[in-house]
Amino acid sequence: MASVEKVGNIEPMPKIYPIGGGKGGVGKSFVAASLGALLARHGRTVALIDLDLGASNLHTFLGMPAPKDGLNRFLNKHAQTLDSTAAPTPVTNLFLISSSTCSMEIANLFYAQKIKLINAIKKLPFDYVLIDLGAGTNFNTLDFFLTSNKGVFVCTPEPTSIENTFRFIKAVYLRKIKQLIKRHDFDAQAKAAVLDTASNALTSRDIMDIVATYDPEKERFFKACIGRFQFKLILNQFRKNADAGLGKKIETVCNRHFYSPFEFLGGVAFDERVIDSIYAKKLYVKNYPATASTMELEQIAELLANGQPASSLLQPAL
Amino acid sequence: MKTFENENYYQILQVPANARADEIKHAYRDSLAIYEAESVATYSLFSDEQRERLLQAIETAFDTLVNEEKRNAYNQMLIDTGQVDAAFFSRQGQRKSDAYCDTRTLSNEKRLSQWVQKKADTPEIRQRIEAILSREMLSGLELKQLREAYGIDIPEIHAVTKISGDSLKRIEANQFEDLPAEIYVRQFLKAYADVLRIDSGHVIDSYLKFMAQAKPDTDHDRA
Repeated sequence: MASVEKVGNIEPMPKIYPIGGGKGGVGKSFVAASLGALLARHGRTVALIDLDLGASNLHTFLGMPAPKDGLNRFLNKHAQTLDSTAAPTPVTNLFLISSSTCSMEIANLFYAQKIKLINAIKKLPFDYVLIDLGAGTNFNTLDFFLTSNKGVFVCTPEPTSIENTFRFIKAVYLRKIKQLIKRHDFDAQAKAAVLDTASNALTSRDIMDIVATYDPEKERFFKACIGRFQFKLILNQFRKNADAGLGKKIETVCNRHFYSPFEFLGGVAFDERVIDSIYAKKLYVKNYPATASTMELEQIAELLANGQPASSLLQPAL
Repeated sequence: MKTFENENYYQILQVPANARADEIKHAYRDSLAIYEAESVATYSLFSDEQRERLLQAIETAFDTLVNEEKRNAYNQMLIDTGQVDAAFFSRQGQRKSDAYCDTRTLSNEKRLSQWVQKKADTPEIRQRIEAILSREMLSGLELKQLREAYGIDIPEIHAVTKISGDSLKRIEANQFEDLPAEIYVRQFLKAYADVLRIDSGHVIDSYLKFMAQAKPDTDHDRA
């Protein structure tokens, strides 16, 4: 079980971006499908993994029928490797590992299967792996989000979505810290206090305090571990009346009050045609290559690929 | 979660040690916009108590840094207690003056209006403003007093209204002969009053009344 944590100094082969954010309906699958397609268009190989287990529908965003096979073949051992379950999509270089053909009870994945899956994801032979996650903060979702340190939070400018995002961030920290405490040699009292299942109301702040009290030397180790995250934030369904500076403000707040660096990647304008594309079973960014939303998604894809926006995209020629 | 506990006032407001007063004021407003109870950016993130403490820290930081005397004493305290090196404060003149104003134009208007609202809600300021507005005529000097009661400077009004700083200064200095035609002056006064959230009709009428009384001859000459 230690293997999940042992990434060591070896950078995993693909760049993995888990896409989460707590609230349902904010566009996680839309963002995942769009960014996957745009990164693939840059000539990189991209695997999209639909890990919204039990509610998987990423294929619809890609404008393709549900693949006949996918994750289920890997989990029931019919496929040796995870990458052999990846289905081609209408976009060159973009592949989909779907969970739509998994058992109806897939949402309750066995622990061993989850670990096997996470380890396989880290070794996928693609340039990029985008993991589309479901809503909520259940353990599976959190563990998949922790597959890499480059988690992307998608939210909308609404208070409810922002509230869920903050809760999701805190849940991610808590899960990570618990993992660390289980796997490392912490003071027995600290361990007992943190892992005490009766104290369900534990927050990551409390954990920090508990560790600081019982095992002060470990506090630095802790902070170093969670300081290694490089979280990203995307504001989707951005309407004209929303505060244009909101993304930057949330970035500032997160950087000041959490323990890891956060980067606001950009806003994506609200567009009715996103819904139209889903009805028409067409990939939005392909169908509408010149809308504001597509250009904003391109900028975000560019940031993920190169760490900086393309200069040609900064000032759209018109 | 981290709070401002170990941060000095400069860090709390996120301004450099040699920040000018206007930069400190902008930073203060930015901080309020993020931490005030209605802010979406921190929705649900803090308990009421935590938010209260953060806002209190911002308030204290601003109060101290915006007052030259208090600021000097605070700087000295930081140096004396070894919290910062004296060199921290001696980088004057090396900075770019536009360091703060580039990305902020977008929400300038909104921030200024929040500020004005906040000031107007303060009883003493409200009283001062009402005392000035109760007069039948308003001179430029009184407009200036109004503006200063709100703690707003001319460049800030210019940033929102786009009225040139020179025109604004002429209005406040009663330099009627250098002002454009009355129709423009009316527009200027309306924009000016709107920024300060005061009755623009009253401001226009009482300023023009003062103007007419102050220069009856010139009007005659023109006629």
